[in-house]
Amino acid sequence: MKKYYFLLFLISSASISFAQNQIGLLPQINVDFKAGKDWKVNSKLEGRQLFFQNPYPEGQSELEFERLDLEIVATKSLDAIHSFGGGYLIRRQDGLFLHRFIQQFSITQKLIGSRISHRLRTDQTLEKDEAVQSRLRYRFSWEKPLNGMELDPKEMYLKLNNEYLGILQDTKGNLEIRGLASLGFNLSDDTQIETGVDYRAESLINTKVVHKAFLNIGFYHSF
Amino acid sequence: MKILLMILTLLFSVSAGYSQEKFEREYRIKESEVPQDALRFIERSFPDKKIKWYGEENLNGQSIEAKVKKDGNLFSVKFDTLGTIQDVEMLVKFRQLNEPVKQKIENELGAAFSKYKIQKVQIQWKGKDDALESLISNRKFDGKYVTNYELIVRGREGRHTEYYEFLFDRDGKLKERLTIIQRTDHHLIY
Repeated sequence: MKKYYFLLFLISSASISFAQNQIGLLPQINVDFKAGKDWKVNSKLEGRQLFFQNPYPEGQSELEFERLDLEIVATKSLDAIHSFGGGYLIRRQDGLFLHRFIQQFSITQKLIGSRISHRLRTDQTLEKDEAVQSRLRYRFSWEKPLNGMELDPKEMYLKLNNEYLGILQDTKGNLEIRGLASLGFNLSDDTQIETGVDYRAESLINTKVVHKAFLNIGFYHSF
Repeated sequence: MKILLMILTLLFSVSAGYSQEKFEREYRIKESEVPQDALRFIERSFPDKKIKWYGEENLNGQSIEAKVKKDGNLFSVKFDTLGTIQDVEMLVKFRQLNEPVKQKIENELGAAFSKYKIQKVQIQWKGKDDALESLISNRKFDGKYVTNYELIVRGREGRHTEYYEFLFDRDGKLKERLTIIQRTDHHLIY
């Protein structure tokens, strides 16, 4: 069995090192505000710092601050479980701006000793000299308190995400899969900090797969 | 006078409306922070068991809770901040309740919701120390005590789904229904 795991490790590390890949840091600040009884506005500022890239960008430093995103999403709670909303993202990358329009529906359910969330999103991305890109995304999240049945202030939790993205651009389709495992600290009912590993496998159909791994650091606060 | 009465009635109904919600937060505390009376009760009822102590805050004030496993059952024993016992709760399965009680509870929930799911059931005992100690050890006591059933339920009314805490008496008659206030889910959605 040990031999099998070692072989699997060798194959996977070899495939990752020969494929296109990126390793970096993904910090985000996420803040939401109440806007009326059932409405909330969530804003997220997220950067992406690369430490390692393959293929290596010619004439550039391997260390690169790749992008900065500002996302604003307004959501309406339908009840304790369901919410829907829409938003807008603006991204600064390679000296250009990209615009994205977002629609989402989410379900958050309380289980005994944990919580799960389903998020279904569609978005349309507009970029200079590029065809409009449309995506359909589904994300599953699971939160598990590491102390007791409920997550209370000053307690840690585990969060796992798994997301599938279908992408359509210029009549060509593609697929991306993401996974996140992070450890969080619930500072209060309104504030959390998290850190973990965010892995992404991009361009899964008909092209060379791009593997990306980021150290994710997140700060969440509700006003 | 009539106006004053009307204002008082209005204020009372508003505050009563708010009191229909449940908000509870627990945090671990050290054994050294637990009142002596509470420690003594737990030592008598659960000798040599591993005890987890929690401070609890809810809309009605503060309390202290011990969580402990005994004979495969999970108990929560609640005290006030002076160490006086408030109640003992034991986690059970809904199917373990007796048939007439189950039927009454199902009828009540069926009438309240178009769809529901019972997520958690606890038997709650209230009474004097000797009654509660006996119930913890043998599940029976010949004297006076009160039995309730506390249920956490996810229920849908029309197109609206919420989480509720229900309290039924020993015969399955509804005593209280509270809507549970949910924690923020921004770190799960974004």
